[in-house]
Amino acid sequence: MAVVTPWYPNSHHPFAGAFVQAMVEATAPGTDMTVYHCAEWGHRLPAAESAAVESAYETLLGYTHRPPRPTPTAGGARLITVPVPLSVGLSYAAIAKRHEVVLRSALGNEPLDAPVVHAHVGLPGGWAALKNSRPGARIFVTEHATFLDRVLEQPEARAMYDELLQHCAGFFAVGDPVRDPLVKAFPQHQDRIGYVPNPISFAAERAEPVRELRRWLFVGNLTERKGVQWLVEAFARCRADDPELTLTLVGDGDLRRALVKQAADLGVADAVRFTGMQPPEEALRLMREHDLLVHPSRFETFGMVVVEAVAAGMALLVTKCGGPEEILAGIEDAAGEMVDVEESSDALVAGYQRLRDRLAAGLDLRPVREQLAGRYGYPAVAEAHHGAWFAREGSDG
Amino acid sequence: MADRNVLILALGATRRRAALDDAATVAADGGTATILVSDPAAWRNDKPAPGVRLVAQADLEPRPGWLRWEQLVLYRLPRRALKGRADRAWRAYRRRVADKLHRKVFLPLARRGAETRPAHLIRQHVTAVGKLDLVVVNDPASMPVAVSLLHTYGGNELPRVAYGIGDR
Repeated sequence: MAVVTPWYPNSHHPFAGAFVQAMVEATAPGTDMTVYHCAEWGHRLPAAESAAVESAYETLLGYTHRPPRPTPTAGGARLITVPVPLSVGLSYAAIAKRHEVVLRSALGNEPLDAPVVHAHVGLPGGWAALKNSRPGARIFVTEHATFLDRVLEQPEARAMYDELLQHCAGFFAVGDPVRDPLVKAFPQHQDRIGYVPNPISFAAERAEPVRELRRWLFVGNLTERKGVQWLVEAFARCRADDPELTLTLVGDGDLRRALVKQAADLGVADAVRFTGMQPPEEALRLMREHDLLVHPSRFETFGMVVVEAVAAGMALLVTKCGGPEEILAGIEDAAGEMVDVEESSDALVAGYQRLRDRLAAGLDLRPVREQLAGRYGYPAVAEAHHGAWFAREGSDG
Repeated sequence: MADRNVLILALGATRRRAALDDAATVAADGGTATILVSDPAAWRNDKPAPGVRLVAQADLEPRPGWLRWEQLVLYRLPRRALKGRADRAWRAYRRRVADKLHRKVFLPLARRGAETRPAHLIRQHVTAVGKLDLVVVNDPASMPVAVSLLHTYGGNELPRVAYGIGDR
């Protein structure tokens, strides 16, 4: 089978598509899987140079391989990276069509040689898969995109999405924040849009259970959508009461410099560490060495980092930003504290204080870990995928 | 077998981290990695691994001797004259006067009559240490240059081409 994805971890973007890699790691065993990573190489070149790039790339494909050589990846699958040079600022429809054309060219104008194709992200991944699959292939799509509302606002992209939904054998959203806008936009396809969560590994355990909330951790992009400026402010306020608190921020982004300055201005620079981007395995290791995951995001479609933190045995301080509410529905209190999305640090500070007091009173995080392992662990998610992919095995060749 | 001589074309500087990681892998395997860049300023915050050469494309071009005097008169003497004053005056002079004169008057003069042939110059530079084994095309802006470079081989002893060390 084939997996087509615009996101996959690589040395340039170690975090990008970690959930796709996790899905591959969970589902590839027992299958013959090739992952086609259509990696977007954005540029701001003038139109003439952009055209020269497209022409040169076509020539280069003659020198390399069609498709480029595979390398081993997670779960015993093969990974083929297909660069997709893209002018920054194209419409979502244009981006998806570019993925379609480049993948076709990289395949030497042959369709994907697989009876089952699973794509990530409707546009561009699903579209590229739909237009490059062989006749009779069954196409599945998982949608994760946080920018889905903007895709559906563009008429051409919306029409392409409609076509994709009509032709795919199965369509999965990773949560309600993704499914709801799709059902609203395409009520005629409501019954075709199901759920499948991102898989999380629960294999590694921390050495000691969390007993105090001294070592704070944030994992993600340092952007406004992640609410990191409120995190640093909340940390400084809480540290005024407990000078032993530390904060580690794993990730990078536009706000990094501003956050470094903010930490200095608030007098907590010596307690705040910026690690920059780290490979997923390093981020998971850091989770096992910290006590509290603070996830102050404004909006998340799923919130993979929240489940990873539970798997690492961390306590959670999470905003009600979409995906995490769904993940923790019914077990919020057992996992930590869930607070409102506010444009201030008040809710985070109050949430931390409540959780600190509850932990001191004997909060046990282990039952939550066991419960989420049953929903998001590799075996559960692999079973869901294999059930969909191979439901008609034998009739598809 | 590890590649001995690898050229990483990173002229667009849009995927610097991947270029540096690839170069570090080559160097760690005992090979020679050259990262060819267009604008060295874009790389000022990036530190290549030991043994990795970061080469500016402009530095491959032949330079007439009088260009040293141009640098002295246009940059070094004014810098010395403005020493001690606000940096702002020096920066304004450099941006509005020196850079413009260098780019629009003296550089074209220096290039006049000389056959620069960028692809040949690149090949000449990287093969000075031995046969070129692999060309890594690191970003979109490098693709046309990569094609020109491959055309200089005319089908003989072509280096392999990849988009990253991982898929070589």
